[in-house]
Amino acid sequence: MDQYEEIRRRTLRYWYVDGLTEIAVGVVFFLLAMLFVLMGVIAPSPAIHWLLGLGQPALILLGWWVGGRAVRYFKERITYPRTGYVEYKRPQPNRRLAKLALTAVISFAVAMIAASFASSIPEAWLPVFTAAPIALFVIYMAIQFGLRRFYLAAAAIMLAGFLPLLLGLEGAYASALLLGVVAVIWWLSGALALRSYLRQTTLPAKDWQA
Amino acid sequence: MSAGLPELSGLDRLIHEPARLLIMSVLYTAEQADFTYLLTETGLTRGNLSSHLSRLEEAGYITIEKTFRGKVPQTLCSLTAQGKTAFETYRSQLKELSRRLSEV
Repeated sequence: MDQYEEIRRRTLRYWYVDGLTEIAVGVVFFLLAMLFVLMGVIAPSPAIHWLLGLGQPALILLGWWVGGRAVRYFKERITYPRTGYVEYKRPQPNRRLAKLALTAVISFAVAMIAASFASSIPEAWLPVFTAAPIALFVIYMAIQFGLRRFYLAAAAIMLAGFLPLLLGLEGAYASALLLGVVAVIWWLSGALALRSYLRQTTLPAKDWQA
Repeated sequence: MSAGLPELSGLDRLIHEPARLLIMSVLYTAEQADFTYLLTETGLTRGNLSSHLSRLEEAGYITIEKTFRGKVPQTLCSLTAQGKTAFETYRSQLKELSRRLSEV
């Protein structure tokens, strides 16, 4: 590999060095799992299910915003004083818009494909088909940033997809179990990364100039 | 091999030095990086890193901004447009050189 390419990946990977992002992502998955538990508990009514269905993207967006702020708050106190601060390049506004539009189109296409396939897939297998794209995305991240622990996380997420099937769970509880286990996987991954990071680094003296 | 020599002599020696090349590579990827990060990444002493940063700043390749993060002083470094062009030229020259050498 090109030496610059390795430095580039190393610089980008630095965002994940402390495991804080994984812990925040775990919180979002946990909240989604709780939403599915709520869907299982509440008596089936189209209005409530519609509202809860709307709650999923709202929860993801809110989690993305709050999680991002929380991660930055903790990085300011844990990471930046120890190993320094890096500000990453933000895409140009027009490129950001194009990226957003592309993401919307892909999400819509995936949702359409999933909806057409969902009817032909036995309900018990749905968590497996939910886990697969999540695991694939995690593998993509692992390749993109050279994060080896993400390969393990992807494998664990894929295995978690089979858990509801093995336990004979279906419907909202099956999704809740999958998302709950995914949350635990991210927490474990993040906590181990954070522990390793704290062991390898020290907080400099107060007069230290960053 | 002689076909590659003109490119070799034309390489920007300021960037070619390993520590400065590492600094330039980091700053080419990131918008900004502080002194602590560059210190961690390069493994240099504080004095050595300061000296390399000063040379890059004198050449107009980077800007050094002294600021505060809360109550802690922070030294932020970023690549200038001139530095970006110099780094891109250096990389393309090196790639061309490497291509020519592989042909020999």
